[in-house]
Amino acid sequence: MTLGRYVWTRLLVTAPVLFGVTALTFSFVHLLPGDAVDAIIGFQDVSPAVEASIRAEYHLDQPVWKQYVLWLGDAATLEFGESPITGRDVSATIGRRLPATLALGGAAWLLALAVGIPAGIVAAVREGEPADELGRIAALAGIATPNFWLGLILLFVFSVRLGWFRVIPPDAPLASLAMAKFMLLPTITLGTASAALITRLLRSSMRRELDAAYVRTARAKGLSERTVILKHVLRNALLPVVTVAGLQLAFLVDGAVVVEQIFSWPGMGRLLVRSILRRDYTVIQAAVLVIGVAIVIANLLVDIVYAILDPRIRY
Amino acid sequence: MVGNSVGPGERGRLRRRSLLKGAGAAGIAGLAGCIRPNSVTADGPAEELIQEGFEAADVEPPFETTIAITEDEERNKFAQLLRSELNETGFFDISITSQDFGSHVDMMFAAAEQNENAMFVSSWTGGWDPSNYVDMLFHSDDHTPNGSNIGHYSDETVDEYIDAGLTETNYEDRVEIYRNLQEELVGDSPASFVRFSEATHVWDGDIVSGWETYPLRPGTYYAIYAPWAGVYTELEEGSEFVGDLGSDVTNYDPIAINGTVSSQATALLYEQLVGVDFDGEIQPMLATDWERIDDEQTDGMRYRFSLREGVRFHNGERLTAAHVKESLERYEGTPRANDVYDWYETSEVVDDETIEISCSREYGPFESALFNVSIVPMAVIDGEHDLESEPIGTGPYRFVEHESDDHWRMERFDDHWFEGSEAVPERAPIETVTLEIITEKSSRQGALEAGNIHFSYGVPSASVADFESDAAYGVGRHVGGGFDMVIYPTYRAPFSERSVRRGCNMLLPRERILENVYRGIGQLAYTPISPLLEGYASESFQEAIANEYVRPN
Repeated sequence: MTLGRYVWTRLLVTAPVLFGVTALTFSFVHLLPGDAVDAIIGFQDVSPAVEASIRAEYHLDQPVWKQYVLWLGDAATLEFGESPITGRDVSATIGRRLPATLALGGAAWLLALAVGIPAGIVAAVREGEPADELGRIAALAGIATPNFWLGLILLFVFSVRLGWFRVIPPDAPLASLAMAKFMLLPTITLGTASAALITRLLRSSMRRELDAAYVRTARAKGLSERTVILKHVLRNALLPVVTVAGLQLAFLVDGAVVVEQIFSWPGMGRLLVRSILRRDYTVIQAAVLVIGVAIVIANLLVDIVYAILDPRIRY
Repeated sequence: MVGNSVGPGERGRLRRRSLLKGAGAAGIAGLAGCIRPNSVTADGPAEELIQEGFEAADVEPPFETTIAITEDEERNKFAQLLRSELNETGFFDISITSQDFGSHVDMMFAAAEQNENAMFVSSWTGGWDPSNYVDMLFHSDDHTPNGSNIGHYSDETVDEYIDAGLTETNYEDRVEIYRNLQEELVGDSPASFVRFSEATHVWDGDIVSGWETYPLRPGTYYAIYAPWAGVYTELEEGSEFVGDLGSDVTNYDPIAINGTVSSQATALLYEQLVGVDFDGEIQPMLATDWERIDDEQTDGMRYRFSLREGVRFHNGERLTAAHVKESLERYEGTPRANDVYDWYETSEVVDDETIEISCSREYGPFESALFNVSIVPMAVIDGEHDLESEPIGTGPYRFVEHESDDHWRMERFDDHWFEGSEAVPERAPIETVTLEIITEKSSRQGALEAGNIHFSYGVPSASVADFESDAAYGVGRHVGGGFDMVIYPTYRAPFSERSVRRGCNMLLPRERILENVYRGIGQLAYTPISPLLEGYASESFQEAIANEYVRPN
């Protein structure tokens, strides 16, 4: 099978996966006690007729499977309707949040790679030297630091004490210098743990490769150490990193609730949590679908990158 | 509200019926202790009460139960203190169950139906009328899930007082009723009242000047400009005021709003016939004056209101009596119908500036109920405009934009009706009001300290003292309109026994909770009605109740 055909097959399989994900979410959300009508009426003493009419308006009087089928029909045409809680259009709500989440998540992901890969290489090549020890301590600290703590400390030191950054996002478009500056601290907060993880992963994977016979051969051929490391060892050592980085990419789309809270970032994480608390099914479902698509795409990208990195992998 | 301080004679005036019940209980407890030598020994009057209740309910100590709370640091400390106090008696073996807010609320509202073995730590927000603090919580018609009577408490005397309080319109008589009601409630203790909340406002003293602290959360931003209450704020520099909101604004339409934050955000946009000012006094807002005009055909009450002339809506409409009628009647068939139809019967438009409102019954909280009814434009009534897309009222500010989870912005409405007075300028000095939506408490404090916002009503309790000692900030503190409480599951043993509840109420470590959990922010509570409503909850009355029913002696 060629790579092109493989991608197409994978995309076809995506449909049932998304179907399963949304069906599961739908049933889980309905397993929670309470429903959207409770949230709308706020537990006030409401006449049964009023309550019934609200239920009917949002199909909440139908059996769960039927509600799901109705939703699925709309979702197939990317029609997510309006939220029973806020009365606002769900696609628009998600459409406003997604760019903010992608920007922050993407920046954190790039930071993680930009720091993690060079640090991993250095640590592997300089095994046992001070650079490696330093990297190990830094990486362990990075993995062990809870991001809410890191976020609060960064905020306190650099925004409140030193006044270098704003505590809350500026009133500026997402693609602006002011916003880019503001995003620095949340990006570091969100990206640190991933960077640390990638560093450790790449280091151990490169150590294994460095002991392999082909490295000795390459060196014996008289290749420069730089070529040996970057062209041969790194390429082979990257496979596990690609897997992890791909998964991290997918996680970035669902937003980072804690970081969003601390930096008042209007992303998907806060939206999703609030919607769950209010039993706002329409928003939960649409958000889960978007996240599901992101994870499927990320996995697909991982597979494609595998094939590029390792010519032995055939689909 | 008229101040009504009562002297030391208070204690003598407490109703004797409940007292007698208490004395009888203690007597029986002593006797019961002799019959069952194996059970836990009761030490002190509170434990004797609990022991008596355990005997009556045939429950063997230690009784296993749980304290249900939301996942929250303050609530957790609160529950820990309560648990250790009750476990120490040997009568209880208590655990703590913490859940996210949504699940916690769902659990409470299904608790009685599920016969849930739990006490609940919860809080309640009242308002400017004493009925707001008791009706939904303790009337037997308000059992969950249709009301907020979580413990399914039922008591005929309490029901009678609650009903009487609603239909009584004479202030002195209402005070009497609500004092009796509170005494009955504390004597029976379906819940323990622990602490009255406090409005704590902190502002940047270099920028904001003249800020007044409105006691109730929804009115937080009236301080910016409320000519009807004689209040406004000036900025030392710039024309934009930046405040905060603790969570996102959910709804814009008054009939859909059921959260505090949405009320807070829209308070400067909408106006009502009357307002309740910073001291709790009723003030004319869109109505200039009103009088009661009952005649033979009236069953309940009938009032004639004269409306202010020259009032414009943000969309250019001119206020008429028809706006008032339609704004009242659009509540029919909505989830908030009871806000109006609990008392409203009909209204008659006499002319553009005069309307007569008939009530279906005598209704004590009539004026403060009108403060909840925002007057909206005809475009909304005719279905041409949806308030959920853009809120339109007659208020001194108009809506500009709302970026969800980011900010809420309003600008001064230059056609506002106010013509200026000695106390308040004709136009609001602040042109733009931006409210930043910041959910994390420490970030709110950080944003204030970094100068990104000028004002916050939600800095952590622990930091309030620091702001107070810092000359660069202004701090306004005022007892608020809510309380924290512990709700007992009166639907199941042993909490079905009033002596058990009263014993727990006596043991509750209120002082320690106030000091350790809330850092002294707020006031100790023994009764439900906030001291904000002075006549109904004067300090001497609170003291008398506490001495009689709560403090072990």
